[in-house]
Amino acid sequence: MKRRSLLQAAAALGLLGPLRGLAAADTQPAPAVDTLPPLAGDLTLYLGRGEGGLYGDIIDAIRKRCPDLNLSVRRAPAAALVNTLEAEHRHGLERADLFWSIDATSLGAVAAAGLAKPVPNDILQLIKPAFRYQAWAAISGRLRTIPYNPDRVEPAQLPTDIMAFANSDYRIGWAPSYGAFRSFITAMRLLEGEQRTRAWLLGVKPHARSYGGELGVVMAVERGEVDLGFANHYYTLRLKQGMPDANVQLALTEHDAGSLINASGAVLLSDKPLAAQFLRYLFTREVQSYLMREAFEIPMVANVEPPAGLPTPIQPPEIDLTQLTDLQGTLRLLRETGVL
Amino acid sequence: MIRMRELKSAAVVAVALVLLPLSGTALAHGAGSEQAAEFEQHLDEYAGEINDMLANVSAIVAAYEPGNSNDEQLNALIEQWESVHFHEALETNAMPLYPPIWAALGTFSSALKEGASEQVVRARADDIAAALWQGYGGLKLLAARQDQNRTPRQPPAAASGDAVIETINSNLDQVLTLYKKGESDAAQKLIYDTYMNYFEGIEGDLIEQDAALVTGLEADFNATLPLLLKNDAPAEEVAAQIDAMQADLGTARELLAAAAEQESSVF
Repeated sequence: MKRRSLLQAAAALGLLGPLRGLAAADTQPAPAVDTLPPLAGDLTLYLGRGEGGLYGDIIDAIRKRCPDLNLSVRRAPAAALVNTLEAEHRHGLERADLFWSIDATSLGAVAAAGLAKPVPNDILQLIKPAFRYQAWAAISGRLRTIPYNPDRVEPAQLPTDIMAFANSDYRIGWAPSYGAFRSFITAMRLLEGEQRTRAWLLGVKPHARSYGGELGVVMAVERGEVDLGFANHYYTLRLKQGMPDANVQLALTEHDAGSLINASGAVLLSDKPLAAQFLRYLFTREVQSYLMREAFEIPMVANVEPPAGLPTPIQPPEIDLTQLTDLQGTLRLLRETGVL
Repeated sequence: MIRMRELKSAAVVAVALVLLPLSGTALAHGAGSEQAAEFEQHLDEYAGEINDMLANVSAIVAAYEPGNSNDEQLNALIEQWESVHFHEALETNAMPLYPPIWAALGTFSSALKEGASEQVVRARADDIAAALWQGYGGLKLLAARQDQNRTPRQPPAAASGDAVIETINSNLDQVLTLYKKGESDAAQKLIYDTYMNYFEGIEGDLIEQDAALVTGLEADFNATLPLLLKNDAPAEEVAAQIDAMQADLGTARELLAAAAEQESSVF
């Protein structure tokens, strides 16, 4: 089981000012696309959906740049593709060379099934140290945050411990049916245990209001319908892009599930060199910048800045993202507590 | 010889058992492609695909001699299975019925490669037919249930904003139709599902363009329109509210189109 130090994780994000140099020293700079050879040959990519078409744009750009690349792409929900990959492997009918998913849980499931080929060392060296895994390559990150309404909440009084929100009087917005929320609760179960997570859900529930999605949570915070919420970072950044004076700010908790950084990534499934070469394209400055620019994703390479507007310092918990696979246990807990 | 009728009959029993916990499972996996999401409109096409596949299975069986596994035809069969629309529809909507097809193809392949007797190869070919028709039966049953429940179609995952807004408008029209027929609960469900499955998917892009427009539509979907229905408002009032939402959605369509044109390139 891979474990990381808290300091290393924070430093690796390039968001702890004094430690940035350390992160850069441990990480090779992402190459410019012009330095990579054009891709040529047959490649089959399984692509987990859910990124709003952004990955499709990147694939189209790579195809345009590499006309000799014969890329077959199979798009389906990530969970369905995990089942497919396992079924194909079980019956000796492997087809895919690469699996790219927005969801670390699905990547972990593929790795746990023994289907992953090791990520080449030169690619690992491009990734911030806290997110280096042998079995899969983390491509971009998403941070859990506490969006709050500054008219209703005094930031200095906000708990820095996610568990303390269960005992607060804040009116809270959450989106329990949302995948990101479920990963957050799964992380809490891993870090705090079942009993404390159950108590937390039961503690928050009486003063929580449910929304369909996390953008809805952030908008409710902005309207003052709730005092604060639990949501991924980019919803607030997107709202502020369209409404620069939006009445919402971001806060972070420290070293717990409330500041979890989850990642999208890719698994190499074959030893075909072209698969690793394709993966290298995803770690170019251009692709990493594109993901940051268009989706406010947190880059995994050292020489592309994170999106503006994130609070600092970011102090994520010590957790192996591939452990976030037990979503069924989380669903069961959400149902047992009446949150779902 | 593959006994289609017997296999189809047997499949009905199997499907009935498997589908008991199925409908919720299927949608929990999220949306498939546009084709897979609209699987109920493509059942005839899927039946044709299955028949084509089984014709190729029969050809492999007819040409089979122990010691001659016919790898080329076998690979072509796997390619065919990978490429048919039925594959994705099943994988997206009826996952429990999907692995048995892979299992049947795998055991068929093993029988050929191991030089099994003709009788065994025929039995494995029948297993493929049974698994395919079982999957097809599952989709048919789900389609019937979707129709009964008036479940809105799942959104295509990477559909353009234009296509999503088209669907939202169509669903809002259907809300009014249902309401006028006195089916207020179904109309409420359709509003909720349309918000969750469609509007929620575009509002992230839209909010970067016009946050106030998104805020207004959020309130319309989650409060204004549902409350009109809940309070038994006159149909004219509901229609006027839907007209106003569709006008805002028209603005949204233009904003999203303009944003798409301005999107930066990757390289």
